[in-house]
Amino acid sequence: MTPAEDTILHAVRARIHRARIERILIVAATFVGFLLVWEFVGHLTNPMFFAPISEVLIAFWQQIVDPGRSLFNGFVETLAVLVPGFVIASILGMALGVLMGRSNLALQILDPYVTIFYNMPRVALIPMLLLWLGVGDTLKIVIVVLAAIFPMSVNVTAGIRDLSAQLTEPARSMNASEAQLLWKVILPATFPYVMAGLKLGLGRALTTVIVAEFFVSLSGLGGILHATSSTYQMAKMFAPAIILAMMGIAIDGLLTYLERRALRRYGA
Amino acid sequence: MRRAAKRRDLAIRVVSVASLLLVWEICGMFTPRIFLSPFHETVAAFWRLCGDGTLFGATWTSLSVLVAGLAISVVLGVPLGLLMGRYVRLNWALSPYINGLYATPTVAFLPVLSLWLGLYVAPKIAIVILLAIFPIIKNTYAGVTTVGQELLEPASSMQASEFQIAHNVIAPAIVPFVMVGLRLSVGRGIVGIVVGEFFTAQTGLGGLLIRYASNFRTAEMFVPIFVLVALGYGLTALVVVLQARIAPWKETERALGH
Repeated sequence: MTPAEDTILHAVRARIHRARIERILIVAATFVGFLLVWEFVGHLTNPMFFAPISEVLIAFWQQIVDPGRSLFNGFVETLAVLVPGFVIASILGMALGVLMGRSNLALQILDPYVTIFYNMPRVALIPMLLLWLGVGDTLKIVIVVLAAIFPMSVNVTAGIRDLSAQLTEPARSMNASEAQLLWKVILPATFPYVMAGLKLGLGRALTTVIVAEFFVSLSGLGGILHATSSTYQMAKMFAPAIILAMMGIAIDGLLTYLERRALRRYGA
Repeated sequence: MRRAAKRRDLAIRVVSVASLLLVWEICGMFTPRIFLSPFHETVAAFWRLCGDGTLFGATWTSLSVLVAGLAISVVLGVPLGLLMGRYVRLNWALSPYINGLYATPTVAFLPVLSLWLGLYVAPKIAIVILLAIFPIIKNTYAGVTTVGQELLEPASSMQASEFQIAHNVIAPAIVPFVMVGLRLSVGRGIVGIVVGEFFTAQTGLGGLLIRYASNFRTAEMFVPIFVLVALGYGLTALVVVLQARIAPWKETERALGH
């Protein structure tokens, strides 16, 4: 490397470094500003309708150390519905997607229903399922499955239909069995679609479980949200909302990270 | 050959749907009315609700709130996405909140929205916006940032003004992205309107649905559900048609995010 090139490289590095620092400063300044505005507005408004961030954080902490552990229990109750529902939906959705991607008959038979369920507002099914299944956890798990299964199946079907022709032919000509074809060629190739299905399904599942908890209003973070807001406990109300936001962001971030890693590994 | 295969596929679909409706009809005959009514009663209820104007009124109520929410989302979201795409510091400042809220189930804010904004139109429009605006912002942003140098450089080398670049280069390039955002927003907005109508003043299609379900009128209950499905389908199709009309020059855009 010539000295001139070295100087240029050095300058570029310094500039990138400066930009990074500037970015951190801007993000931090915006965050502090946001908290200050929240605090300030909270002191100006009627405590029935809003609470300053300091009180929100104190109420959050009190709910965490509270011996009744209502917030913690609500969190566990929501997870106890979300996790099994989401796992069932992902497995069934993948199976359904593979079936519809590989068999034209299955595609034609099931596509009208999948299209309807995929495009309809899932929350509209809650009143009906409430009639059929009552107010227990079954209702919530079923609604989570219904919310998350179709984004997965639609994505997997699309992935298989997009890829098959160019990828399956060589494998077939080398006498791969249907199972080998599926596990070794088709599923790895549709991985990005699976991740897209997981992400979309997760967003829908979270929304739907909260709405179901609003309805039943007895359990879970949605239930706490409903109970505290209808009794005007503003400071307390923000705790479940913040946890739900964190859950959404954390799981979305985790899936994005996994997606990026897997893409690097399999080199798509 | 191809046409024969297509006709056969269509026949399979028709048979599939017809057999489900038949199963529904038969199950409905043997189930207590408070859980399920035969299919023909839902059809009869549909005509009745069309005839007395109930359905039209409810659809109009829901649709006007939805369209208002989507329009505000576009009016606010597109300029915000444009600015974030052009000014990197603004993007740094705002993107944590926008990405965060996009991943957040924003229906969680409905109780507080109804405390602030009452029970009528305002909280419903607000929840539609909270669900619908983020795909529009994110896709507009993606559109601006993918307008490549190969488009911008010739324009500036030919002495185009900033306004000309915005109007003649960037705007046409981002329209397909905005439309993709809008397509995602329609589905999310319908969820918003239904949830809003469930938990604030029970109006529109969501209100009808709740009223019929809690009175065990199962035949009528399916009518608003089907109208909501049709609404989602129709509006999405409308956006796709608009997209082909307004921006026929780019077909291969990719949907971003949820």
